Amino acid sequence: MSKITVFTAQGIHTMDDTLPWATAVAVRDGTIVEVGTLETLQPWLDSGPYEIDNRFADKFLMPGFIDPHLHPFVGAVLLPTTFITAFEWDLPSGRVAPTRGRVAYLQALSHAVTQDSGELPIFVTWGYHPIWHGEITRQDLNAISANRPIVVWHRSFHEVILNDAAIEFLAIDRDVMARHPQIDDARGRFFEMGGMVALEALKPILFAPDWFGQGLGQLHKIVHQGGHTTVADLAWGMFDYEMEWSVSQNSFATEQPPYRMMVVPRGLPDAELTGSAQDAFDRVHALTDRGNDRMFLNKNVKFFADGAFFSQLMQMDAPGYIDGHYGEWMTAPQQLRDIMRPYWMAGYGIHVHCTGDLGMDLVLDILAQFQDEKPRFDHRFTVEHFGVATSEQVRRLAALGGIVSANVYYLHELGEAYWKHAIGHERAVHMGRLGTLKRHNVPFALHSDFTMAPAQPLRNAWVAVNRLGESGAVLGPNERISVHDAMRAITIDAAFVLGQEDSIGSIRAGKRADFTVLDADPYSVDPLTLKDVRVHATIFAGQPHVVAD
Amino acid sequence: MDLIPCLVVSGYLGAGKTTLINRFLADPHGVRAVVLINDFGKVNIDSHLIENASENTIELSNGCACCSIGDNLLRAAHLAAQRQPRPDLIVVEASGVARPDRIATLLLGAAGLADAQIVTVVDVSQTRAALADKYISHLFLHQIAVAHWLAPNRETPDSDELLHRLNGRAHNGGHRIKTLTQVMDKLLCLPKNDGRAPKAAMLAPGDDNQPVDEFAAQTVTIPDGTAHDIVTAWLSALPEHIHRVKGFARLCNSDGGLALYSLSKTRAQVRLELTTASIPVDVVGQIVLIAPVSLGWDHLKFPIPWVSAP
Repeated sequence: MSKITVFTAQGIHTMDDTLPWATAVAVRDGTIVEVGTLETLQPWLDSGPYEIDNRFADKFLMPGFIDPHLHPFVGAVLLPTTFITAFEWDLPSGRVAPTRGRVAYLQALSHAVTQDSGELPIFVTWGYHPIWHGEITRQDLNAISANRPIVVWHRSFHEVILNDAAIEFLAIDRDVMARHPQIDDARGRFFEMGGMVALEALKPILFAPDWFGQGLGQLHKIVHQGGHTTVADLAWGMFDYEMEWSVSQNSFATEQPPYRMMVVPRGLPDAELTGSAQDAFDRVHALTDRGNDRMFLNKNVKFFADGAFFSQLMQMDAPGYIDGHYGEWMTAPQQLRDIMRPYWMAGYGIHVHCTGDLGMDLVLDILAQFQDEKPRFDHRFTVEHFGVATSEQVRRLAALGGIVSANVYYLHELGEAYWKHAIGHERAVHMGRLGTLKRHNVPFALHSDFTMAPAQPLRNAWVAVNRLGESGAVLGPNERISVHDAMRAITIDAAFVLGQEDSIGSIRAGKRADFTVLDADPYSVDPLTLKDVRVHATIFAGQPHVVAD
Repeated sequence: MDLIPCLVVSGYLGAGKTTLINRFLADPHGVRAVVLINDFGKVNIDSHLIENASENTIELSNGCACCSIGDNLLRAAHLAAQRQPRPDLIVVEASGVARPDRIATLLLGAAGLADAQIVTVVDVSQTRAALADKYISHLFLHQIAVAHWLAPNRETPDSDELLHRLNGRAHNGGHRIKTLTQVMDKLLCLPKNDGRAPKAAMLAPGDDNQPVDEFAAQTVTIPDGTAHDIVTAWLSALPEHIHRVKGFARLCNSDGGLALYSLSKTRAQVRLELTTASIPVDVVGQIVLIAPVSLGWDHLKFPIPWVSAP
């Protein structure tokens, strides 16, 4: 029998309402033996060798944070870029302070290019947005460097600006540039479909081992410094099932990052359903017979209903968008139902990317039909993102037993922009309607969808509790939730969304010894400073891993 | 260099896009087309037409090829435009939920392609249901609104009234067609596009009543042993209106030997190539010419004695 280790703390929020508060937790072989006080643990300590580890005695422990929805491969592509952003980000290289205004942006960019080591073949910065940074052109970038290829990558991913050196380096076809309606030749700006031209040329660089490998290494650090001990890749197979699996396996084996990753495959293996739904199911199901303790599968699957929230492509019911445009379906409505059915019948936990209220109607219609065809209890059918939804839809979701994994960060970054430019005040300030979920007892988790939002659970909890827009105004005060509910949404309720609540998400005897160690008590600090509570360390499977300063 | 004409075949799920494409591939009238599709499983090609098949490409003996789009249309289109011999036409099958105008814009990112024209296939029997469906009615109407060409399918007794209403929505013309060949005939006759002309110059927005040119095939016989040079001269001299010529003939080389040639002319491009293909005897020497009916066969005076009117 291995030795027991007891971690003591100023306080432990167990996230188990039966015994919510403790000061010591005993672990052995990566598993929790008991949580309580040094006195209550005594029978265990009397039974054999043990040590008391007091290094976190002045800290606060929580169950290891869980991000139930992120995309490691998108992160790996993006992280080697230089972040110059209008909003604050925490990266392994340090805290990125907000940069706003055109002059400040160009100064920051010029400084970054000068500081850049030049190891990678091209300098890429991410985070530019004209709302905050004004109009940046090819000439501005040429003035910064005539030789170093510079790529300015828009916050939304759909747009880039190149200097002449980058246009040369990427060998962009000049004829295509001249005639494409979504490429502004003079300004070096590639947007929407024109952006794809530049990104296509960038792909060989972004997916090269030196870029991508460095990105995965940074991703491990970000996940750790956010305080996570479990994350879910919520679209395994986004690029290529086997490539992603082997790259992740290698990276986990060689770098041993202190977290585990649940892998949720995309359930429609092709761009659209072409053969029978049963065949598509069989193909994906056959892939799921693999995994280990660090990368595991759990009969969960991912689908996509309507378009991207950041691109204003969510499907909105009447009265729609102010400018009259329409959203998009990522999967044709009837195909979405057809392809999901075999998974429902086979007892899978189904996760559906759903961003607008018309998308929500569709997803609810499908769930209602499945409940008619084969009623299931405790099915964990999860609406992912939960951008815009009505109160009535939440009530119907509750009636059908559905649950939610929300990207509430949308509200902070887009709430005011969408109020003024997309869907008006009433619907924009009520995006991420968490208060309504609470009133209808719908379990919900918070996620980052990294890199759509920072992979920092406390930052997302801060948005959920305060609902501050970018200007600092409170948006939709009746949809705010308590600190306790926000903390549940990044621990036990996130575990519930993943079907992992038996092993992670709270601190009790028998669960994994995964903890997050905080400098301050999130329940005691001013809620307005919740995002600033520092993650000091994590304890993964009983082993402490301190976050570097 | 000329830009390669390009068609986007759009339409909601089950509208009949693949059927339209299959029918075209079975008889492409001598046009060397590359068809980009989502799934090979649905392409229905006679096995005797398949010359070569790999994971992502099926080569047909009639000069066409089918390529899989996979998850990267821009790359697939780029590769298609680079194929040798250079394709006469690129056809892209859009996914059922795609907005074809967005696909057309995306395709402008592939060097060498002309502005794509949009063919929207409409399952007329499903139209009322689609218009009443809150999830797809906007998409359904949008696909029609941006169509240069409408291909109605599974028509019903009230088709005309319905199609008339839909035509009213099509602000890019929405000319009615039955087959892709009709569009191709029109496209390949278009004046050369220098690539900088605005989209509207490709095709004036037509009204519903404007007839689409009908094209008809005529056959010319070239007897065995005709001199290679004479046939080359004849092909080159054919009026531009006859935009497609295709067939096989046994010709006399400069050294006096007889050999089987494949000959074709598409737009201004003459091809006369030695071939080892096994061609049925009754087909050798039968050259098919396709010309607009409005031109009238009588106007076509070939300065060659062995041209025979059908």
